[in-house]
Formats: sequence, structure tokens, C-alpha cells
Amino acid sequence: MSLLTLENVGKSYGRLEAVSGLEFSVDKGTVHSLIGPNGAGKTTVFNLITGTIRASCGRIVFDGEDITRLEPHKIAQRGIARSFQQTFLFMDYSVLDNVLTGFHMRDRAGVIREFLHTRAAREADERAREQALEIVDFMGLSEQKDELAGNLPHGHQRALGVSIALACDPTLLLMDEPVTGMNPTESNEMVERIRRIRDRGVTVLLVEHSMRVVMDISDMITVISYGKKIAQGLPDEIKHDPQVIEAYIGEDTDAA
Amino acid sequence: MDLSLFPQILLNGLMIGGIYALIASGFTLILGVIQVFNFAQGQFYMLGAFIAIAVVTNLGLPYPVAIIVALLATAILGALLYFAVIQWTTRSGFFNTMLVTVAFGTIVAQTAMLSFGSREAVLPPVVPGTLSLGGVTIPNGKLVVIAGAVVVMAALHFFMKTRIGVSMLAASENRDVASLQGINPKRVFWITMAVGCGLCGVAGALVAPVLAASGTMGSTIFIKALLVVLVGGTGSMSGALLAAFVVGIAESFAFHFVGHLGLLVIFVLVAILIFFRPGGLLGKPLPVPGE
Amino acid sequence: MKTGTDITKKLVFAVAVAVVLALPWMTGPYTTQLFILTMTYGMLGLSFAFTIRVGLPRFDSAAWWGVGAYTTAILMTKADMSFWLTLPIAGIVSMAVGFLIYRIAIPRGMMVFLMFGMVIALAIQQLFGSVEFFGGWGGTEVIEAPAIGGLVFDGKRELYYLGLGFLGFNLICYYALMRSRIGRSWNAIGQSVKLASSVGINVVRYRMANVLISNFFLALTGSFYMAFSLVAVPATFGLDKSLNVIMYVIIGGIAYSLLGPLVGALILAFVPEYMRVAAEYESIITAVVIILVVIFLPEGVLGWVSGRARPWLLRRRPWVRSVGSKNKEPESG
Repeated sequence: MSLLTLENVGKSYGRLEAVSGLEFSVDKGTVHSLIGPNGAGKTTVFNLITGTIRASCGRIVFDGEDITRLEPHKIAQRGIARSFQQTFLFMDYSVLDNVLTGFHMRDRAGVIREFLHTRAAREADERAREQALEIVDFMGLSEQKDELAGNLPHGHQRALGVSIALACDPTLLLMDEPVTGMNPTESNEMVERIRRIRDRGVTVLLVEHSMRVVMDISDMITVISYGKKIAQGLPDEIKHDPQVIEAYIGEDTDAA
Repeated sequence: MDLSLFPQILLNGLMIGGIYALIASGFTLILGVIQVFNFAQGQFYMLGAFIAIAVVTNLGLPYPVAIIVALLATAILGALLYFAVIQWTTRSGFFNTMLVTVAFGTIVAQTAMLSFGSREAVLPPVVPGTLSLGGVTIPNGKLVVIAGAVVVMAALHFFMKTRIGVSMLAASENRDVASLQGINPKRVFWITMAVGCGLCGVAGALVAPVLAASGTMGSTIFIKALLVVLVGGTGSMSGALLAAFVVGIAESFAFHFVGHLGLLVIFVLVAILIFFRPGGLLGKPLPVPGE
Repeated sequence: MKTGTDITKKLVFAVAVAVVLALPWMTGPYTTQLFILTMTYGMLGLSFAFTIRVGLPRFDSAAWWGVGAYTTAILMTKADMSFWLTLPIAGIVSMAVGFLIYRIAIPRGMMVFLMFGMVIALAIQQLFGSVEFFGGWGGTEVIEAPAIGGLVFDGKRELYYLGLGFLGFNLICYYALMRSRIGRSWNAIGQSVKLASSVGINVVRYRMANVLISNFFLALTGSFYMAFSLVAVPATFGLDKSLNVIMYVIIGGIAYSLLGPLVGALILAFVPEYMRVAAEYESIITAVVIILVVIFLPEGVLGWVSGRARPWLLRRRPWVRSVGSKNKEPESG
């Protein structure tokens, strides 16, 4: 059953078409990868899905609802969370506070109670803190939970980005190059976590450069080039697809 | 309504519009390319006027020379502002850099107040007399201002086609420094500051024979230039150009009919316009630093 | 160790409160007047520091301050209302008018908000000056000082304590707001609009709420201003005053939303006074100081002190990223 469907989605800047006629759907409970050479428009697709930029044409349907024209925060409230390509964090917050910010939508005591700091508000805060600790623990950051996000090493910042997204309690998690810049150990840990996230029932849509990771983890792969879909299939099919190989010629990737 | 005044009011509007166009495009250029909100823009306008007056009355040089001196002096000061202060603050954020231009503007304005006093100064008309067109009398001085503004805008247009102009535009569209095509970004930045501030200086020199110059003339015109930028759509040069004349003419008529309430009428009109056309007249989206 | 720190902290706090309460008895009326002004400017600074938390630098604080002053003045003179009754009305007027204007500006982001603020600063001043109802450029006067029962707030000391009351109310409300989860969401917006909306925060609505609350307190400060100045003149509420307000916050330290504006206002009120700077040079010197502070002490005086003082003395809040230039994402990848 498909959770997210893109129907003939396009985005153009003047005469430049960043994405055109894109169609694919993501099945519930899978890890779906979106790959393509540099500048293929992968991040643009993410921005379109999350509403950061508006599609010029086409429809994006999530969980049976048209979300094409919704504002980013409404899309997040529908259950789509995102971790960014660049390390995009609340740099002056501690790790735990970063994750707590992700709890914005959950378990509110009400504005007045929060202002007056009543018992209900404090208890809600306490519950949020416990859940945030769980997430921090799951992402392997419990030792760093009080450090400022800006002071973390790169790999941990990546993990924190995912933690914030997880705190939103998403049904669909978009991950933009989660293992880029990580060493092999960190990268393997991240792959393992993505699997566990999927096993918890969260559907994952992944953009990743490392072919090794993509082939290892994906249930389904969509390949785009110059804003158009050129192939879709299981990892083994994609590996041997002549069109895909052609698109990647001259590309510097660590394809294995 | 007295129809015989109509051409006069229109002419006034065109003249103010031309001045707004110069200041607003200088502002937009600096905002787009260096991403600096140059609050001191209005003060460069004031400086231009006073420099022109000083060159003509104290040195006795002809007016066209005064315009060139005003242009060069303000451009050099703009570049100096970049080298002395702005290049050190851009790293600490948009808002801090803006504050520095606020402070710089205060220094310039206060120094001017102290050296010129609060009295108003004005140049004698450059081309005295009037022109009669179909029964309408037009003072030559105002025509000179309009013509001057058009010439400067044309010069700016051609400047933007040169190599350095193209890389300025490239920088405003894509912050990626690599896209500057081998031109040192610092050079692009200081030239942008010089051009943006020089435009204001020229504007000041142009109005010197027509409007009285005073130490406070910079602040008000800057706010009005902001209005123009809002109407034209933040970050759009052609939008600013169009909006400058629209606002100038509207202001001229509003002042004629409702006097001092004119400014308020303009504010309300602009608010309504922006409410219905969020992108400004030309509807171009705006690049917002840091958001 | 912890209890020791706690005790010292309480002690410092108690001494500070005692000094603040005793001040008007230790100094003359002129100095007391300076303190009253400092409190007023400090409250304006608090409102600026409050909206900067959501990444919106406001250049119209003095204008809304003026809206409060004028509402109080008009209601007291034309409707013969008591000073206390005008307070909530002033706040509500400022919020209502603000809502109408910011509905246009806030959805369009920081840059438009900022420019709109400057335009509003000029427009509201024009409104007061050129509309006869508001008393023209000469301003509007009130004759009556506020009073509760037999206590009339007409002496410097009484006004000082009235000011403390206003300031205390400001501080308590701002503190409670920033500590709550709404405060966390506001801070998140200030650090990164994009990330904040990706976790489901309605940026426009949260920013609107923040700015309107700030508007409310600005108007209250305006009403208080009427209590001691007894006259509202348009020239007081111009853009230059809004710029001064920003200077207080920057000099105090922009990351210190509560103490920063107060320290900044204190410095800018008293230092020129004791340096005996000629009035014409004062603004030039202030401007030079601002440039130096931005370059060498970007975290303000408090930031500089806290590098040397015990950390618990000062509570630094996360600095606002979205008015900075970091954290940017390229369009396509």
C-alpha cells in the first residue's frame, strides 16, 4: 500500500526545469531510496514533498490526502519529518533541547497552563523529557545529551538531525544523505538504525550518495537524472540497469 | 480639480521618482549582492547634496564637475565603509552588519549637522528660466534632475553588462562564491558598495539646485526609498525602478490634494497594495538572508 | 557545593533587590529621574529582545510605545478616564492595530518585517503629528497624575516605585513566557525558521503572537511614560528612539533577553551623564561605541562579563541564528 505518491510533479525556475513529470510512490513500511547523479534534483524533490518550495505542477498525495499546496508546518503535522542534508540544527541548544524542540506537536498542556507553569505543564514537560531521552539513547547520543549541538563532531550532528525528526513521531521520514561524511563505523551504525526505524513502522525515504549503503538498505530504489525519473526497481535490478549506469558515467561515487 | 496644475504635479512626481529610483536601486544592489541592509544609504544622499553645494559655492567649479565630485566622493566613502567596517562584521550576521551601517549613518549625519549647522543650503538654479510646452510652464531645473536621473540609470544599466556587473548579478542570484567566475568576491563586494553609495551621492548632487539641503534630509528619504523597495518587490531592480516613479507620482498628487496627510495616504495605499500583491508590483520573490 | 551556590545566589539577589528598593532614598531627584528613564528604556529594550527571539528585529518599538502613551493621554483628557483603566485599553489598541499591520508583514519574513517596521515608525509619528485629534506636533498633555486612594504618583520617589512595578510585571511575564514550551518554540524559530517549520511549528502564527505580546508591553510602557512625563509629543516616538532601543540591547548583550536591555539602558543613560559629553557629540560617540561593540564584543557587555564571572550569575539564552547568516541550505543538490 502506498503511503506517498507523486503524480506528474514538476518544478521550474524560469526556463530551468529542476524537476519535471516526476511520478513514483513510496510503500508503507519500506526503505525507499531516491538516487541520481549530482544536481539531479533530489533535494528539490524533498523540498517539494515537505512544502518548503511549491510544485509548479502535479500532485503530491500523502496518506490519501493532497498535500501539494500545504504549508511546511502543516505537512509536518500530517506526519512527514525530515532530516536535512547539511547539518541543520539548533546549534546553541543542548542535544536534549534540540530533541525536545521536535516534541512541539506532542502532548501539550495548553498555552495558559504552560505560561503559569502549572503542575500539568510540568508533568507534560517531564514526560517529553523522558521520551526525548529515549530517542537520544536510541540514536546513541546519551553521553552527549547535555553538550551544545554546535560543539558535536560531524557524525553526531547527523545523528542529532535524525533524532529531531524522530521526535516529531513521523509516519514518513525523509533523510537527506544521512551517512555523508561519516566514517565506516558510524555509517554502519546509521544503517543499522535506519533499519530499526523502519522496523518500528516508520516509512523511510532516503537520498544518499553512497551506493554501498543504498544497495544494502533499500527495499525499493528510484533513480532520477536531470529532474526526470529514469528507472525504478529492486536494488539488484537497478545495479544492472544500463540507463542508470550511463547516467552515472563520469560520476565520482563509491559504487561497490 | 484645477487641471492646469496637473502637468506640474506630474513633473514633480517624475522628479522625486527619479531620485527614489537612484536610491532604491543602490539599496537593492547592496542588499542583493552583499546581503547588507545599508541603513546609511540616505546619509550618502545628503552627503552628495552638500558636497555638490560646497564644490560650486566654495570652489567655484561648474555644476557638472560638482556632480562628478559628489559621485566619486560618496563612492569612495562607500568602499571605505566596506573595507573599514563591513568586511569584519558580515561574518557575525546580517543584523550586526546592519547595525554597523546604522551607526555609520549616525556618525555621518551628526558630523554634517555639526559642520553645516541646521540651516538649509541650496544651490542657485543651474539652468534658470522655464520652458513653455503647450501652455504649460516647466522650470528647467526640474527637467535637468529628471534628465540626470535617466542618464545615471542608463549608465548603471550598461555597467551591469560589464564583466564586473555580470558577476555582481551572479552573486545576487547565487550566493555560491564559486559562481563569481574567477573574480575575487571581495572585489565584487567593495565595488558594489561603491556603486550603491555613489548612486545616492549622485541623487543628492542632482537635487541640490532644486531642493534645499539639510542635515536631516537623509533619514526621511531613506524610509521612502524603503517604501519603494517594498512596492517594487524586495530584491528586484526593475521592480524598484517602476515602483520609484509610481510612488513619486502618487506622493506628488497626494501632497497636493491632502497636504501633510499625504504621507499617511501613501502608507495606507502601499499597505493595501502589498496585502493584495505580496511580491510587489512585479511579483518577484525576495531573497531573505538567513531564512 | 550546590547549596553553597544557591545561598550565594539568593544573597546576591536579596542585596540587589534591597539596593534597587533603597535607591531613591540614596540619591537626589535628578538621579532618580534618570533611573525612571532607564527603566522606561529598559522596558522598551525588553520588548525588542523579546521579538528578536523569533528572529524579528523590530524598528518600530518607539512607535508602539507612542501608541500606548497617546491612548492613555487621549482617554484621560477626552474621556476623563482613570489612568489605571487606560492601561489595558492601551495594550489592546496596540495589539489590535499591530495585528492588522503585521498580517501583511509577518508572513513575508524577516526582511519585509524589518522594512515595514521602519515605515511604520515614520507613519505612526506622522499620524500623531498631522492629525488634529492627536494634538498636532505640539503634542497632548494630561494634567492629572495617577493615584490610588490617597497615594498620588507625582513625586520622583513615587514614580520610581510605580516604574519598578511596571518593570517587575514585564520581567515576570517575559520570564514565564520564555521558560514555557511556547518559549522553546519561539527560540527554535529564531535559530532556524526552516528547521522549526519542519518540526511542525506554525512560524507565522508563533511570530505573530510574539510580536503582539511585545506590542502590548510596549504600549504599557507608553502609558507609564505618560504618568511621569505628562505630555506626549510625536517627536519622542520616532525612528531614532527605536534605534536607541536597539543600542541598549546590543550593548547589554543580545543573548541576555532579560538583564541585557536593562544593563544596556543603564550604561547609555549614566555613562554619558558622568563623562560630561557635549550633547552634540553624544550620538557620534554612541555610534562609534556600537561599531566597536559589534566588532569586538558581539555578545555585549554581559557576554564579556560572563566570560569572567561565575556562570550562574547570568543566564544566556541561545543566540538567534536566523538573523545571522549561518545555517543556510542551497536550493538543489
